[in-house]
Amino acid sequence: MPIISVTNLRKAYGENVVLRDVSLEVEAGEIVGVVGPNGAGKTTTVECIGGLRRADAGRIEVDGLDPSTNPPRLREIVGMQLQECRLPAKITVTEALELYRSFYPAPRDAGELLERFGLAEHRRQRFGSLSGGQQQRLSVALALVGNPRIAILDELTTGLDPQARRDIWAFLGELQSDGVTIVLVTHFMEEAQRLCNRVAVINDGRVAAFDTPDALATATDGAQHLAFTPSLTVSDADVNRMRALPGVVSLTVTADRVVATGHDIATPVLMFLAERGITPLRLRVESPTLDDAYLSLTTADQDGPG
Amino acid sequence: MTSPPTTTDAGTARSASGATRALLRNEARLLRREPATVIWAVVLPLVAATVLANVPATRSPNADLGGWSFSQVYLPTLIILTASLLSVQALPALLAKYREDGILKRLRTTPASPTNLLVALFVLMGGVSAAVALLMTLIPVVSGVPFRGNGLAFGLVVVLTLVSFTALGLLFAAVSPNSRFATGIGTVAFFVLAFFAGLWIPRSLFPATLATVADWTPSGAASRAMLDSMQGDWPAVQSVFVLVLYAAVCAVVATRMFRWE
Repeated sequence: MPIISVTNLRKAYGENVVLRDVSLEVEAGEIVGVVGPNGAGKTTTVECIGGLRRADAGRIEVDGLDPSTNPPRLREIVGMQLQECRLPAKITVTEALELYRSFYPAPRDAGELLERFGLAEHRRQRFGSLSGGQQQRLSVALALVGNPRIAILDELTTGLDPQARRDIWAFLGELQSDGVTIVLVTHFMEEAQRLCNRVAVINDGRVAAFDTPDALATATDGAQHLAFTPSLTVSDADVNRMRALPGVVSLTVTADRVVATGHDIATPVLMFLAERGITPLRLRVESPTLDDAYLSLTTADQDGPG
Repeated sequence: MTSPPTTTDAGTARSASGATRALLRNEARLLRREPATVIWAVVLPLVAATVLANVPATRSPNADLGGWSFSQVYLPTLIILTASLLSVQALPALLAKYREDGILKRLRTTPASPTNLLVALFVLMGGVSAAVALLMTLIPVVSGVPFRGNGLAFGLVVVLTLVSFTALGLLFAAVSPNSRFATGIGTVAFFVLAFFAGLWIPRSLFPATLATVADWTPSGAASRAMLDSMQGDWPAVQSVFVLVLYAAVCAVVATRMFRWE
């Protein structure tokens, strides 16, 4: 049974319809990514799930609770990190963590969180004097301080350097092995690809696709790119033979590089080269990525309403 | 607004009062880190009260003030000064800033509610004002000018004044679209309130028309009621009515208009 289920969610702010029809199911223990262009309705969706906004239509259940009725139990099992939330400038890191710990019945250890989020040496520093990345890490730590069963993280790694981002990813991986369900809104396809079991692409108030990152990447007709420098000169006849190989859509030869594009072309091209005794040097194979999938899903109906 | 606690809510209700206490401790700590507020609202009024109670010219009765001493006529003014700085100026600026920064919204995602934070701030600002008021009332006594008046009436008027000012501050926080607006409206209100409380001209020197107008302002009504009780009387019905009216109207309008984000 899914721990979060969202059915036919609709939400408008005045004339502006943000969610047209959003349905999602998140299984317990899953990490689900929510991606989509700015204004697509990602934040509105997760804020409805977290009970901060009430949808105009549709149904949400979070562990059997209806978030729109603001049940106290929901606050204990859901930890939320919001975009653009600033703490008072003069509160210190430890004070903020201890304050938020005091709200929960069974909070996490503050020291552990300080270590995990690289804030231990800044524990006495005031929020206003922290760097943007440190503030961001504190905000993620505060979302997890209550030991939530469900963590909703809105752009958790925005503004972080690559190392800090990887540290947080590693920590989220551990949370998942502890059984925590994570919903994360992100702009980084790399983050979604690495971390998420499934990714929901939201576009124009609808779920354009919801599947594993790999399935999304391959389902969207993404092309494979193959590039190499041949060890021997390739004859014109061989170039034409390669162009005729199954799956190859295009093939170009420049001074020393051969670039082929198509579907599942790596094996036939490489086998052909082996037959001819040509070694492909500096070989690069690029498979379709989540990025490609994302772009093809979100640019399809740009001229639609909104 | 809040449903009566059921058995399943008992644990939550317990932790809610815990959350209010934790937020109160935290806000008290943050207030101590604002030297300007502490100096203007706490230190200067206490210093002024001490000086007025000890300098012979200001501690003895003055014929121009209708037999009052400067130390006496300024006691209500100084109490109102502290209360308006904390509840009418600092409180709405702080709440508007917390709303702007998403702190109130962030609290909604926790078992604590932003209501806990509101309560904590009311208690903090009211508590500091009440403590300063008590000290300023006791300073002349320690300096040898005993308080002769209706102490019970005086205490009740001070409490009513704090409630009324807190409601006014909450109204300002509710109508302010951002923290700059809240700071501006709070500052203007502070000067108006301080004026009618007699900060620049003692109340007993107000011309008749000005006194009539002042009696309909919260600070004018408060200082008049405090002076009445210092004379041993119960305050005029009008003064109490004005304070209750401001408290009720501001509280009702503020709670209807207040937004968490």
